Amino acid sequence: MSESKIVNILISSVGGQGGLTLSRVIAVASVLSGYSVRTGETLGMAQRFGSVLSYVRVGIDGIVYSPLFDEGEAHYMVCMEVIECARALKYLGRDGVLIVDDVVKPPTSMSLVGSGSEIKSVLLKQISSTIDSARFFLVPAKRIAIELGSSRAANMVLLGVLNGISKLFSESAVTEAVSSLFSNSTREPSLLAYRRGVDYIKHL
Amino acid sequence: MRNYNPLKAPEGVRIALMGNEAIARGVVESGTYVVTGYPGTPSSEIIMTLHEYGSGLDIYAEWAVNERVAFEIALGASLGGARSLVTMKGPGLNVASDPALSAAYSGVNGGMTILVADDPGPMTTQTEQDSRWYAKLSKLPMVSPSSPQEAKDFMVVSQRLSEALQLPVILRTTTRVNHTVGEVITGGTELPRGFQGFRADPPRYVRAGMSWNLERHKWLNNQLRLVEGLVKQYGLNRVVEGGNKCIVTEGVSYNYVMEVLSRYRPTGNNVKVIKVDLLWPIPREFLLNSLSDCEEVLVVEELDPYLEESVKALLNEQKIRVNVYGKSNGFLPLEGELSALLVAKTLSKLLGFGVLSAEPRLKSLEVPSRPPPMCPGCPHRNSYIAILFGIAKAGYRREDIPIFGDIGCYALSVNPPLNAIWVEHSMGASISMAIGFKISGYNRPVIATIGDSTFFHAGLQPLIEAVNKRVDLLVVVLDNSVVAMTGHQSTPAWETTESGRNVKPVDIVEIVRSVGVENLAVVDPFNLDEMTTKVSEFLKKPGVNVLIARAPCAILKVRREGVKRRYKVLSDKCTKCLACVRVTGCPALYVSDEKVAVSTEDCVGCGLCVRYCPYKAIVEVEAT
Ligand code: SF4
Ligand code: SF4
Repeated sequence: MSESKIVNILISSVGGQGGLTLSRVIAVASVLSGYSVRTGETLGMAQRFGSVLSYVRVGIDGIVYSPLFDEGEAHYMVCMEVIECARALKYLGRDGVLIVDDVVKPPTSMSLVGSGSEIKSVLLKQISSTIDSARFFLVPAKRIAIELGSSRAANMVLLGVLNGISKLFSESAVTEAVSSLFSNSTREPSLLAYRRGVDYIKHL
Repeated sequence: MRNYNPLKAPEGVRIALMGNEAIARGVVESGTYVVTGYPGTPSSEIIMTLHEYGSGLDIYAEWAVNERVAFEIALGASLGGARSLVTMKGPGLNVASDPALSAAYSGVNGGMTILVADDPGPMTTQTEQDSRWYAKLSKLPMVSPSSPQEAKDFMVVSQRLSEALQLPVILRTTTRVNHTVGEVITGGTELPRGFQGFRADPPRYVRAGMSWNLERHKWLNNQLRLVEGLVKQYGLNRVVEGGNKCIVTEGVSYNYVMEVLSRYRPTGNNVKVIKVDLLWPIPREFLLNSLSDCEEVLVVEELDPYLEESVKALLNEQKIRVNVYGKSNGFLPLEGELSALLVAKTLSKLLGFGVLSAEPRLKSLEVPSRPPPMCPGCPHRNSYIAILFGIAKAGYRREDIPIFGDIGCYALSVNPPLNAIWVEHSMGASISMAIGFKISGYNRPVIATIGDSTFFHAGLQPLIEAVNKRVDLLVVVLDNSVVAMTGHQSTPAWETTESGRNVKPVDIVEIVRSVGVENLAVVDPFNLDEMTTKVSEFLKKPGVNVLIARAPCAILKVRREGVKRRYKVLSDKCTKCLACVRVTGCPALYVSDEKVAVSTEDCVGCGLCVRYCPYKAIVEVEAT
């Protein structure tokens, strides 16, 4: 973990993927861990499919004031989609860790001109060439979630990866946060997805 | 389901709440009984939280037809001694401004709080309106929280202040307070306070008598003298750290100031932060006391130089000569939201320390933009396609027929590939502006498109005007039976509201018919041919023509019924002609491996794209 006592996490996603839920789980886990926390979101209209950035700031020691942080200040960046990851890359700090789900959702502006998912490998190549491989984690989170039978739980797989690397929260804090935010029917699958994320990083 | 319900959690627990949830908690802590408002980002989650977690609390929490009506409901309730809250976004206060100004003269009995949420950025709002000026204009006291904790606490303070002063109090927030999640320590709750009693008092409650109004104005000005003393008792307005370089700030900006100071501790500890929680009336005594030893003053606030002007006026009046920096002299921007970095840059100019942020090592990559599109299966997509085809069918070129839009998801039809609406302005303006365009001498048809909840909110009066003045017009009401854009709230057409109240549904068709429009038809936008024909037919008919395009919001429909079928593209048949994408712009369609594909998880099976594939490459598959 970085020496800073405030940990900045940026979650970039496409509306509807569950980025906001992920930021909420981290916020609840933070409070359960006795940390201070602030989240800020470019949470726009109810629509899905727009770019969404969630800022989460976990104050391990002392109060967090600003709900936002600036470019180059993210200690961790969690991307649920590759194009949005490329768009938000400027937020990643010098020693920041980048976690990317291997997923692309080309926006309509691309489909209209006949381009699409081929952009994924192009962008991933560019991203990986700028970041040292020790802190770049390309994770098939969506695929893992689908294997588990809950395609919407990619965010929880990513949470497992994030916590596996950062060790920010105890297992019990995450379990309680997930339990308190999810309904009876999604609680267990979410926890399972989380644990698969933790395992994935352990066995890497 | 949560372990703890934010509204029912016991006193003294520390929980993570979004600013708006914290305000909802404040409703319970302050014993507020009547809560109403009109949905508007970033204010909507206050009432939504009461709906989600408030069952059994005996609080009246319902959406009203518009902000003005909501305001007057809250005002009426408080006249009888009930405690009330009305919530709205910044532009909503424009709608409610008429009763707001009169309310300052009659005052209230039960505590009444007016929550108004501004949107620096702006992120979801038509303007960067600074509603702080409304406090000055209406002479209603205004308080401004900086965090979820304060949002809750100030909700309680605001009700106490309101009751003590017998005046409505404005609780003013911005997006970064409303939508920020942070730790909140709960306080004790009070039973909701409903009707207590009412004694007629015409000079107070009747605004018709001229001499009464003068007396009431004097009363109002007298009450305002009490505000500063009261908020002091409640613990508002604070000075942080000592020193004679002074920063005056309020609301979310306080966080950016503290962030910079806590990270930099510039030049020892000689910076004093003066946090103004009472924005109107300006706390003179507090400011004069805390500014008395300042050598330099920087005012940090978002949007207009509201505090800055007040501070300058106060210092001027007291003949205190110190430099005041802020927006008027270019130290901070007049537009957009602030950030710690912006504040750091300004402070470093004044105090001479290095700026906060390390230069980013990484640059973002150039990627195509992603404006929010209409959802897959959205009925509005069909409606605009029918309107555009209908224009062609009637023999006009689309660049000859102006389409006035209104506020709602359907304004996204401005984006490619539809490029449909020409104008979108303010609630209800589509019909009125179309009237103006037409009567100015435009000799071709004019179309206004308006959503159902926007029609209920502010579309009816313009329609009456159009009928009454015999204006030739086509009005298309895009009726998806919900306030969709702000998070799917109820409309007056619902039979049961979110709180479970059984209400009497109001039918737009009956309203429109009763106004006396020349031609009226209800169509299903999924029946594209019929709707296209109706559009072309109505375009040529004189008088006011109203087409009600009725089909449920796709998101709600999926929530209620699930997805019954989906589509896929047979890649051996697809020629990548892009016809499907170029007509619909459905975000579930994308290009992959030189063919078009359907994103299965996003397709809701509306079948629209199928119509436009010349090669019959799009076929139905079983939904799983
Ligand atoms: S059927 Fe076609 S237009 Fe309708 S949601 Fe699916 S992909 Fe989009
Ligand atoms: S319209 Fe049919 S052939 Fe043309 S791109 Fe779409 S699916 Fe392929």
